[in-house]
Amino acid sequence: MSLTRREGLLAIAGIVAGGIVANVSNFAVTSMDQDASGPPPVTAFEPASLGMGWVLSEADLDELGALGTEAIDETRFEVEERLDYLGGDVGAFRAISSSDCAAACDSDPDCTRFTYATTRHETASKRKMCWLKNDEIIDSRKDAGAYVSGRKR
Amino acid sequence: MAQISSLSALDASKYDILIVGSGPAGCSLADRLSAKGVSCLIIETGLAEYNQDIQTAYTAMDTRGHFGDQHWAQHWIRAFGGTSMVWGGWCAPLDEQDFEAWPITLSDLRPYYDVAADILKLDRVINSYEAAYLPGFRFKPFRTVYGAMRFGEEYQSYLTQTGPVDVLLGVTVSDLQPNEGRDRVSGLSLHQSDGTRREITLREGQRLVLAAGGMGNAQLLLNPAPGTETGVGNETDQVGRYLMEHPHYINTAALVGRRRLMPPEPPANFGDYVPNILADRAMHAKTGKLSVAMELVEREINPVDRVERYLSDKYDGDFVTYNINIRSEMPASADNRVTLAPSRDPAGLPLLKTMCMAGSDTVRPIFDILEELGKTVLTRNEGRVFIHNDTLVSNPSGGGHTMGTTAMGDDARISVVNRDCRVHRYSNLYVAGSSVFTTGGSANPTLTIIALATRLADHLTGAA
Ligand SMILES: Cc1cc2nc3c(=O)[nH]c(=O)nc-3n(C[C@H](O)[C@H](O)[C@H](O)COP(=O)(O)OP(=O)(O)OC[C@H]3O[C@@H](n4cnc5c(N)ncnc54)[C@H](O)[C@@H]3O)c2cc1C
Repeated sequence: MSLTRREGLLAIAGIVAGGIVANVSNFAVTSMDQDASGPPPVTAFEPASLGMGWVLSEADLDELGALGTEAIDETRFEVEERLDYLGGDVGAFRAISSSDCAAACDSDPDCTRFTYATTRHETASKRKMCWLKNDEIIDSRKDAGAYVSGRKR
Repeated sequence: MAQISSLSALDASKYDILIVGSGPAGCSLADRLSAKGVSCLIIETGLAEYNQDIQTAYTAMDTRGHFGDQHWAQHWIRAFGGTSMVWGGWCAPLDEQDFEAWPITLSDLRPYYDVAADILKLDRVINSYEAAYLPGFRFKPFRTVYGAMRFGEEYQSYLTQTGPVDVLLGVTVSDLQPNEGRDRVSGLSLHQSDGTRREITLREGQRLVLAAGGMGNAQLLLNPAPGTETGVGNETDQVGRYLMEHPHYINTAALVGRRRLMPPEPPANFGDYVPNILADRAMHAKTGKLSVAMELVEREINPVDRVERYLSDKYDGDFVTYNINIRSEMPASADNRVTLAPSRDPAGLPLLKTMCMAGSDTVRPIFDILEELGKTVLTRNEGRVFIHNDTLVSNPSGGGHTMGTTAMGDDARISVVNRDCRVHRYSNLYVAGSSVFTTGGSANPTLTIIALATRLADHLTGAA
């Protein structure tokens, strides 16, 4: 059985298969619900390990680090730093970089915009979150320091 | 005789065994008993066809904890054939280590697993097949069935043909009366949907088997008969406790790597299956002694995950990718339980309230086992494992498996039935169904339910 692209990509949707009655896991986080009770603000946060849920070796991490971070493909997206789109979510997951977030949006027909929370975000649980969005966003917030957003050209 | 037209036409004294409930447990018990010439009466709330009004009126529940507000109520169908009306048909026997806390062992149940496979018309190979996988792990698939057996259709003849099994539909057992010494059930009250009531007295030698489902068995034993304080079998306050499901965490991990990670194929006579990985004995002991089934679901490489891209380059195309669906075991906890709610069903039985949490003792072993799988493929340089933290700590779904509420044990202080599925103290009262499971393993329960029910039939006829 092969999953749809977005399920494979995000591993978020519950499925109904055989005897399973699955619920859709309540995974969709939106960038609106800024929780007030997060950990103390951190200005610079550069995690030493970037396993992102993978069980990896040190050598893996070195090799992955050496691959570097690609830039967002600006021919595909109009990119704006410090911009946060509110609402219009079609998916949410953690991504290593804003370019990976943009690439996920690019390959998802339901996605027209994305918002990515950088490692500077004051709430640890938001850092490196990637929200895929459509044009039904409610609002956008400028001067949102820890975010970068993009809109499909 | 076959289907009895109404409560007033019933002559209960002529049956050797009275069975409450017509699901897989009740029907397979009657099947085995009747084959030995024992006469049985099945008493069933539901009708031959599913009826939404009956369903709602009899299964409404107050729910606290994990799995969802409607979960337990929706997984207890009140019709001829019981919950098999909607089940998925997935089957696997429990493992040897799953029986550690039970008073019986896998060898006690082995012959009856084969009887259960026969009843379900599945090849007996499903009870013995497993294969080696990575060190520390085994390959043991679930048998899947498209068009699972509906017991109401399979045992239609109980309604239409004269035989040793008669059925009373639309009638609910509403309470069980203990004798004065509380060592026998002396009688039971029956309620028919038109409001008619009748009291039945159990004659000497006649025995009663509750096969009313994981909720229904507990409900009957929790409910004190009029004029008494305590339900029959609940003298030590054990009924309704140890409520368990199989928490399902779908797409909660991934296994990617070399093609040799592809699971083996079971023999052709095994039939349809889903590939499934389990810990071996030593790994099971090391990771918390709970059964964690890891279903491998083949998928395509995720091109925006740079770890997967990196690994696919590294292994130069010798690469397979799987999502992992977890079906796991909850520890039997006395605090996860079913109790009586203040409202009542149409027969006058108190409705139920559930409290069931999949806590850290459920989830931590899953993390541990996935980490161990990850370390194993990493050190062998065969692949990598991804663990999706947020899915594992979210509300799991369940399989519709209601287990543990009348647990089996040798010690009456911490269990409800003994190794023969007889309610402690009571000489003429037995329980069939997943409510007797001491622990739940990770296999779907119905194959084990049928194995236990047919074993009980042999016990009742003196054959086991
Ligand atoms: C959606 C779904 C999918 C499932 N998939 C699988 C699967 O793939 N594999 C698997 O192994 N299991 C599966 N199950 C579980 C399976 O259905 C149950 O394990 C099985 O039906 C239990 O059999 P039982 O006879 O013990 O109880 P039930 O089938 O629940 O039957 C109990 C019967 O007793 C009757 N009753 C209850 N109380 C009374 C009373 N007081 N008086 C008279 N009658 C009463 C009820 O009306 C009911 O008909 C699934 C369940 C659901 C809901």
